[in-house]
Amino acid sequence: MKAIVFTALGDLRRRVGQTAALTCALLLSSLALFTAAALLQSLDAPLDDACDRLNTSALQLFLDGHSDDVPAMQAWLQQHEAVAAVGPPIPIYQTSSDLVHNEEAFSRALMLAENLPRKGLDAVQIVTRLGDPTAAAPGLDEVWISHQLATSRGIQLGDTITVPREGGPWPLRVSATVVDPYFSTDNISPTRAWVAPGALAHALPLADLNEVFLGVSLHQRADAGQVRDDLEQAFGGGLSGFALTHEIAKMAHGMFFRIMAVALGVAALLTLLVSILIVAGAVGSAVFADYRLIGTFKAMGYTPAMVNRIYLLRFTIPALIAVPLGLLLGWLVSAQLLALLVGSLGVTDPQWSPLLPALAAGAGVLTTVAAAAWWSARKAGRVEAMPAIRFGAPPPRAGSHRRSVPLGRLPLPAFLGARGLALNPVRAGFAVIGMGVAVAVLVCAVNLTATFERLGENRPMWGMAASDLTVFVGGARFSVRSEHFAARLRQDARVADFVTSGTVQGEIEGVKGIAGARTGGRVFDGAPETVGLTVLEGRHPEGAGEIALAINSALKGGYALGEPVPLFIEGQHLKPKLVGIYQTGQNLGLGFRLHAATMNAVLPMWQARTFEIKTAAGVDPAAFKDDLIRTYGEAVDVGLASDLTEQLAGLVTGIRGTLMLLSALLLAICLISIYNDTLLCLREQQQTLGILKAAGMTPGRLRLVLVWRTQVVTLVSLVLFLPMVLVALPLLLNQIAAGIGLVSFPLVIDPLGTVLIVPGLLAFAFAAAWWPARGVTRLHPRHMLAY
Amino acid sequence: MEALLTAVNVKKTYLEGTRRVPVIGGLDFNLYPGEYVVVMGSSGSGKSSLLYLLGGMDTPCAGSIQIGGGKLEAMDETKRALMRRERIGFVFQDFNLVPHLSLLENILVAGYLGTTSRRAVRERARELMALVGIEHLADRRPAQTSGGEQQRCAVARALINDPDIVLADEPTGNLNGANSRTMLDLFDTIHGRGQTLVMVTHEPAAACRAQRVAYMADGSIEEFAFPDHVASEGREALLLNWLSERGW
Ligand SMILES: Nc1ncnc2c1ncn2[C@@H]1O[C@H](COP(=O)(O)OP(=O)(O)OP(=O)(O)O)[C@@H](O)[C@H]1O
Ligand SMILES: [Mg+2]
Repeated sequence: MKAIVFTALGDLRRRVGQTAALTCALLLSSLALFTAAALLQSLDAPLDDACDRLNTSALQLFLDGHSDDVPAMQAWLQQHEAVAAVGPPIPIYQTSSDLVHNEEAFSRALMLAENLPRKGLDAVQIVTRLGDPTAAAPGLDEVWISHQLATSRGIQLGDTITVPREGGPWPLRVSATVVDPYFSTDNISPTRAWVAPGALAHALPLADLNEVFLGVSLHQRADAGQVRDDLEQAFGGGLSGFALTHEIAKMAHGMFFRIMAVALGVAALLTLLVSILIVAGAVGSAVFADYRLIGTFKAMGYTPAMVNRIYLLRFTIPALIAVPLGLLLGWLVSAQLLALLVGSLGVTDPQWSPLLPALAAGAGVLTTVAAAAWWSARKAGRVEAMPAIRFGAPPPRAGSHRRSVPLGRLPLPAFLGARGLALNPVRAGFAVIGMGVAVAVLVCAVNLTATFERLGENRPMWGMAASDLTVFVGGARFSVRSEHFAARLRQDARVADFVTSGTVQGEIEGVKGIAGARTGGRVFDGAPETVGLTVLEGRHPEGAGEIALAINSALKGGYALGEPVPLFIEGQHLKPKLVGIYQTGQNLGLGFRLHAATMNAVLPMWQARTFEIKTAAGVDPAAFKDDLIRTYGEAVDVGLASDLTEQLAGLVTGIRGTLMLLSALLLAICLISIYNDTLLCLREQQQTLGILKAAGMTPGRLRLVLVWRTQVVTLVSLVLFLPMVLVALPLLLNQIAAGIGLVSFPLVIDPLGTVLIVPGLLAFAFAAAWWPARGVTRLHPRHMLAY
Repeated sequence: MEALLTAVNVKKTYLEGTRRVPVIGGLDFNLYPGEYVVVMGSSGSGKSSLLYLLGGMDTPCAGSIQIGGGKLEAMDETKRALMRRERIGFVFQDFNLVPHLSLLENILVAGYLGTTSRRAVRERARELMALVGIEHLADRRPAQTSGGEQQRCAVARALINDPDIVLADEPTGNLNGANSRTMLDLFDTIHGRGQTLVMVTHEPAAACRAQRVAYMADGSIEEFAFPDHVASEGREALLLNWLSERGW
């Protein structure tokens, strides 16, 4: 054993560069793996803990007191065997237009709830507060907002938030920030805020106070969805509000971190794969380069198992250094991320144990490396002493000479580079696969970034109208009639085209979303094609008695073109014929489109009041918007398409950031892998290179021999993987995105970006190989024989 | 006659960690066109080191080496490589053929380095293989040929670019008696065709084929020139006598 450790350590010392490369790869791999595991492990616990602490009800119902029979529902729920307790109905009011904070409008919808006693259910935890520290509720013109909203918007205690209402603005002073577990994320809207008991009735007209919140505490949180469905069933299928379950809240709360964890996990696995390739390649070529030495060891009396163990040790020692370091760094990174995650829940100390992720990541990386090293070192055990000592190289395989690259018209570096590849085809294969992973990630990154960046231009495929302006006519006090507004638009030279529409809620038999049986639908008075909206199959409804369904609604309900679709809308049961199926990325791919005639048959007074306008060429939509507001004032509510782009900017930045991080990680691994591969090559071919040097090959061309090799590898990877990924990516995305209704994912292929990957990666590989290839200039005839 | 190669006061010291190992200290050496010089000396006396210096594979710590008017110590790596390509051919003790290339390809790889057309290089390679007597082995790999055949291929490779000087470091060191004699005969042949040769050897019998012996000891050179008109048996006796005076 001593002899083995001695030999392995000696080998390590000689190959510092290569050992460093492997150590880096394994470090990155265990770092990413640990962080992914830690995030996934600790993602849910903080919210669960907060809910336990505050006795948060697993099912929160937001009902319409006018159309839902709240007391009856309350009684029904109390009888349900899964229900532990039902809280009292709490009056709520949802804001519908922009709030004002510090004279700046911000578009977060608030749900103001009266802070009545709730039998210990749905308590809130005060994080910071002003005034009387014992007060159980905010004062009359005060509001308690969620800690998360305060930190993300920069709202201070004592600031004023102004809520718009019919009778003029309603200023509320922020007197405390609280933890309200389900509402501690940007991903759930509206955000709940608490006002004084009786404040809503005091400040708002009675007509606006129809909504109530009902907290339902369950024995098992997981039953929330079932209880909600049972309730709907029992009350004739029509809950008019929405329901929030613990599951949904959990999903929304951890969304960003879950995406990150999954991305990191994927990156970790890819890094690990490349590490395996590095180890397998390094062992393979170490065996190749050490051929004569191995023969000598054997002659000295080393058994095959001992020789195998030298290499096993040689490659697990870097792992033993890299893994603890990687885990340590992973622990630091995870602690930061988790602190971010729980910060919104008012928890300062995220209680998480790094033990399990450390064990999983550490054991995973170590065993993988050891297995890869052992497996590829078996070859060393099989080396035959005699030919090894005599020729210093594996005996030529029969016929292999014929198949290899001929020394024809190729430039010498290219010929030698290619020969080097043919010499160790297994390692060349590994190099190609490793590079292929980078190609795949880059192609995905480039085109997904393009997809999200150009989402604005591609709106119809995502189910959104491709208009320049959206105008909603009909303010509460001053209003303009739809048909008058339409008549004006028709005469306006600045308008190229427009279509009117409105939204309705309806229920389709057999189709249920996460928030209940109600699905949002859109009614068009005109052709949706005007603003680019298309169907996958059939056509849009052109009159009464016709309906188009979003793909997931059609699939869930099992409706085919031509069949009648039972639709419950505005208190009436209809059976329009299915004439078209379209795709949308909204509402998980659920929804329907109707023609205005259908609505007018139900509600003769119904009017489409949303105008989707395409401006004429050369017209500035923003100026047009200003003009509309000057002309119509409060009677219109105008939105710009560019607002959407602005709203999406955050999402796009996030996605681009994640993809860039992933690409950077992969490129770093690639750099390491090329560096390592070049060093190995230098070693494998040092005799050849030494001879050429003696024969007068210039240092530059000697380096080119090594660089050519990686160029060939990169080119082969590009040729193999680029088209493959371009074909596979849309198919894969269609599969993945079908769940949210995008059966034909609106992928935007960025041809320039994709094509640029080719020279970009070749240049990258060139640079990555050029540096380690400097070793050729130090070759000396004394090095020509490896030993 | 003007010297082809001139070494003046050349010094070489290796660094072993922080310890300095002086190997060559102030050596002078001249080589004239068409000469056949043998370098002798005990093991570790620096013969190989000298050959690498003369061939521009290594740089002297002090002194000057001129080949055809160019100063080696003033050239960078690239210039030295170009110089080697044009003027120097190396033959090593360990043959050092590329194991995965055929014998012919081993010769071509060196020939293709230059600017000569590939067709001309191929023709010359065939001629040289015939000259060294391995034309029938063109497609064999080194591992499929004998040591003597491999070394003859190495000689052909050294000659492919028509060098001014062939530097051979114990070319017969790994060969048995018969093969060794064939190799030396080959050297005589190419010398006969006007090739300038410097060969390191341990065997006085081999050294007798040269015109001059440079004996290395204590980092410098003492020279012995064979007198004209002495039969080959007589040459060996003279050389042995001269060597024994120097503690051979
Ligand atoms: N890179 C080096 N570092 C330190 N010492 C070296 C180095 N290379 C050679 N030497 C030393 O320089 C001396 C001369 O070496 P060289 O190979 O030139 O001898 P040589 O005359 O060719 O010997 P031999 O007849 O055994 O081949 C030796 O003592 C050797 O140990
Ligand atoms: Mg020597």
